[in-house]
Amino acid sequence: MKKNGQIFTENIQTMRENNPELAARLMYVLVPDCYEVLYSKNNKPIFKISNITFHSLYDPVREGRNFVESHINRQPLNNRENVIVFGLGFAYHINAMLEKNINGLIIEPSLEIIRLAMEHVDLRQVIESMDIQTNIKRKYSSKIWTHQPSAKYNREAFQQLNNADTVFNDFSERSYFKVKKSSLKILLVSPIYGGSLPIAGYCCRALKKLGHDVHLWDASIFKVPFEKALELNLDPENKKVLHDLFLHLISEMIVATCSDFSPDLVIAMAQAPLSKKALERLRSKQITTAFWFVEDYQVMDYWQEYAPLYDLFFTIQEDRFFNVLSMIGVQNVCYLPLAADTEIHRPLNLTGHEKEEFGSDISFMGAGYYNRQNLFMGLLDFDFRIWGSEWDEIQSPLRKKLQRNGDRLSTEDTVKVFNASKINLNLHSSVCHEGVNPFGDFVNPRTFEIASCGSFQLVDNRQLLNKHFAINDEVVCYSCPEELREQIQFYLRHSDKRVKIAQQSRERILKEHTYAHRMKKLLSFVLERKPECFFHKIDRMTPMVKDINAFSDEYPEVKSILELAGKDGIADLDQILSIIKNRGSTPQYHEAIFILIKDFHELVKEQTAC
Amino acid sequence: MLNILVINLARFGDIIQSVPMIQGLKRKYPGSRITMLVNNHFSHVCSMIPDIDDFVELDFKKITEWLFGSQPSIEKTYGYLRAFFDNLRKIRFDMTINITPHDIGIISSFLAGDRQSYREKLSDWSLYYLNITRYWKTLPFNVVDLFLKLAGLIPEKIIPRLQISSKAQSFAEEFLRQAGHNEKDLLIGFNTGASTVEKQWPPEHFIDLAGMIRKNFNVRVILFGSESERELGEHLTDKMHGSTINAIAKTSLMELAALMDRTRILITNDSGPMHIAAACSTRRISLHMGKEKCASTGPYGEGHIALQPKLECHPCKNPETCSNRYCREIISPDLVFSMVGLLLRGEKILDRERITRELKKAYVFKSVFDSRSFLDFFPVWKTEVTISELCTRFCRYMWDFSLSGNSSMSELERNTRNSADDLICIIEKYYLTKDLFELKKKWKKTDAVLSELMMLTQQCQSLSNELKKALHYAGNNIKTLQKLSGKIEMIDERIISLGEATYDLKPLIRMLCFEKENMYGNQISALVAQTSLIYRNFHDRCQFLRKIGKTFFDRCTLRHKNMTDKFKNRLSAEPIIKSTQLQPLERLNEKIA
Repeated sequence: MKKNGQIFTENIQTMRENNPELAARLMYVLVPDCYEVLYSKNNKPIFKISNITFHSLYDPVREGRNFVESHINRQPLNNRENVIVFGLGFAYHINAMLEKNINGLIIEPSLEIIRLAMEHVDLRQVIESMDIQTNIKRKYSSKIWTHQPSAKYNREAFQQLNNADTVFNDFSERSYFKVKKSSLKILLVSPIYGGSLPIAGYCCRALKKLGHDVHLWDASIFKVPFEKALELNLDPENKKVLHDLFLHLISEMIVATCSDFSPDLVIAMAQAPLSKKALERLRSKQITTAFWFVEDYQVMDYWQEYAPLYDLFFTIQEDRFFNVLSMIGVQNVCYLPLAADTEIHRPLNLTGHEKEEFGSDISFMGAGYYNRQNLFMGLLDFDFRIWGSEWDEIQSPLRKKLQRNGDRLSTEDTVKVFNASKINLNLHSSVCHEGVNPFGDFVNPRTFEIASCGSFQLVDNRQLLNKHFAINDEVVCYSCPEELREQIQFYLRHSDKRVKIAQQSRERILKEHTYAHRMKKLLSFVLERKPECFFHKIDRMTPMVKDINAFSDEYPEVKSILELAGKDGIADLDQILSIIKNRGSTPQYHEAIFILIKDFHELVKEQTAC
Repeated sequence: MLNILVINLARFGDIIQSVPMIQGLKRKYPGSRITMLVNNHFSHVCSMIPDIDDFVELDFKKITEWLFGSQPSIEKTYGYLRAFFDNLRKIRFDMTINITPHDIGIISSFLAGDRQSYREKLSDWSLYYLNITRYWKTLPFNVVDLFLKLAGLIPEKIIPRLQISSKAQSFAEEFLRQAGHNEKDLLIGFNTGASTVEKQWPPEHFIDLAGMIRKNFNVRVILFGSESERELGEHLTDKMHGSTINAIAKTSLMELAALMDRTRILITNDSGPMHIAAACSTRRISLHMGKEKCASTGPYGEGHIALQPKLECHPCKNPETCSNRYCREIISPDLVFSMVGLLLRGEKILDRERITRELKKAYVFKSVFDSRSFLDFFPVWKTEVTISELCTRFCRYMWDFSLSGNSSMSELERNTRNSADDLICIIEKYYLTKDLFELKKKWKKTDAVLSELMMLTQQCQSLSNELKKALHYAGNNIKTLQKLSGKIEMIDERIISLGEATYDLKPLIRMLCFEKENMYGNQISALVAQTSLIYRNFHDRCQFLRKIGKTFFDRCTLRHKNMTDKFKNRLSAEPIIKSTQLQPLERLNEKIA
């Protein structure tokens, strides 16, 4: 028999692959002692809370099968019809559904119960086959099967499920069809300067590629006046006033752009110049805002003030950061690691001259942070080139390795360096560690960019690195100076291994780590947590018949019109009306109902406009 | 037993305004059973209408949720409407009358089983109604009369009857008793709210008015309104001091009616409760601001006062976007107070100078049934008649004639003669015509346009006839057909541009366009026949207007020439108020009794 720890590890791994957000939340759930785990007569785990026993004390498996049978008898299902199940429990009833090939969505409001179940029963098949949700934001149009003990325990949530006043079929691919295909209007706000500035450009390209209407609000055009203003010899108080005024001006311009552009979503990159007032105004205008905080939360602390003002908050760290955010009331948090733009960071065929200019055995590209200066001092005996700024003040032998007098390199030249170097060193910055930060978690953009160039890298160990790359197969890690030296010597000797690892890392990037992947994930999180951002679009659209076949089965008289009006199984009201109108003659009864629906739609729209 | 369905999917006020029509139907078809189809938001009003035998609610709330929910869906809406109308059709109505001012009504009546209600079978009045709902401003009739016409009834000064239960009566008695009201004291009601802000007279004006009334008369003010006006009521009670009774949000609809029945005068914005008072013996002073005008929605019944701003932009075309409060503020509390005095004592309260000044800012009308029992609003103080006013009145006769199925030339001749005579009496009685010559000159311009329109229409008619022949002889010779229809199209454009350029003729042109939009069928021959008929009707309407204009001005000129000094005086006299024109309430009530 598997131990509880092993069951949980396997379950959580599957959960990470299928529902990473829920997996991340579950990692920090502690099941209180009031949950009592028992064993049934046939030795199956069950549990009890508040005097409610969640499964049969005799045979929970049989009870689960009875649950399915009785629901089918009461409400027969159409072919492959999905259902909503309220309550996960220890999933005996869910497994019985899967035995009968019935799929759908599980609503389990209690994270503790999910965690408990993941610790005691093998849920892998359940997680892979069905979606598990913890919150109810809408009324579901599918049949709802209720696991009675769960409903009794979570009475409030169960009532909410029945009383929600909007209709949305959550898991049906068809119902997502229009949303996924329609383009959103997105305003992307870049910072004035800093590391997230180029990322804003990459995101913009990715979103455009995904078919969205993106407006990049490029705040970097204010860099010169902004710096000039802050350079003035003023006391800190005056400087702050000036800084705030500047921020206020830019914020107002962004809000004005929103009024003009009417975006469905505003995505602000880290350091984006959006003031608190501006964010409040965007909220009052019911514009959904998202913030991608691509910085280390322990180094930069401005997120504490701003995170609660955004509707959605994306981070490159999880674990502790999630807890801290939750403590200040930020709920819609999603882990969104960095990525690479594969059209920019790509393998190049360098000329001999370029190889000479940019090539070396080992290289480092980046700013001269303390830990880097310290660690790289031990690599002076290698053919080592350092590229980047903020190294020039050091009076150390490393200066000899510094290229171009410490000037910043253009993106094109950076890509050439990555391509030309046999080994690209990657060390995440730290201002306090001697070398590798043993607690470092997030993965920097350079990791993805070097991999995207199909180049080899040695990267310092990071807690989250193995989520994105297979260590030793796609990237090679080091934890201390000695290990780094050993790795360098080894891989300089084995160029074939270097090339193989580099190729595999690029394949992984193309498969999982492009900015298009990230933007897709970002938007799907927006869809989950702020669906109105998408539905707002639908509101402006005409209502639809979402499943022509099902509708025609119920009302055969509409079949001929819908077949003419529909495409890909759906038909919107305007298409239906145009078919009816083109017929010219007096409408038939069912056609007149569609006309009436259209008139209603127009009337309500008019009244709403008033 | 005749089964009648009345489709009334509009608001509260429209349901109350349809009461005379329901009573008329009951009178015309004794023993009939009347069912009303209503918007579920306003179904509670039906319980107050004794002549409605049954009502069916269409659930607007549900439909709105389905169509505008997080993911708009047709399926549920279709399922609901299908089941709803399937059930309604089972009743098998013998007659369906749609008085809903948008297309929802017409489709609903078709779905309810009335095959005759779809476009091709619509009566002329129904078509006119559907068209005028788009251009409400140009409606020359009171809505109550229009509803009567839609039901095929003849206006006959019906006093609407509402059912007020004994429980509601007791409530009213008890409510007033608790408010310390003495039965002998007069009550004056204020209905201070309205469905939209632009229709509301400013609360400060109501406060000022209450002060004046209290100072001059021994009366108490009672405030009426709904839950949404609770705050306004509290504010007003607070500011009005004294013994104001606040009934806002404290009554049901029936209790409101019972209380209103106990008030002598109701000063009201143009809103639902104003129409409830039509069933009571209460005199109304109504204020019509924003897009409302008394001619169409003014208080039904005789002897009521209606005030509206004297502004170029009134009735408002864009009440949703206009942020100017001027039209609400321009009617002064002094003027309204003066009207209260007139109704209570039959005497002028303001001096002549002040009245003249106020009349520059506002119109003051009183409601009177005309010679054909249509409700009309005439100025309380004689004012100079304008060409627009005349044209509206010409149109009033013309539409009644044209839409009621009259077509022969002799009928037209007789009707225009009678109408012109009727109008002369009205103008002499209620208006000034100091510069008849100027008016005539202006009319000549309109007449010239009408003449050209008639000529163009004749051309269209003959082209339609050619088209008919071409269809018969040339069969499918597309080129010939295209050539002829192209010519018609060109003339049409000229007709529209001419008509649209003449403000007073716009309703005429819009009706023509609407009729053409609503031609039905796929057969070219049927379409040609309809076109021909539409042009003929249009021609007749133009002709009617020309004839009534000519007769009116000819007779006016003749009378002017022959008029005695006394008559001249009457035409050019200073504004006067005769005690017979507006009698003190007691005497009016005696008359009614």
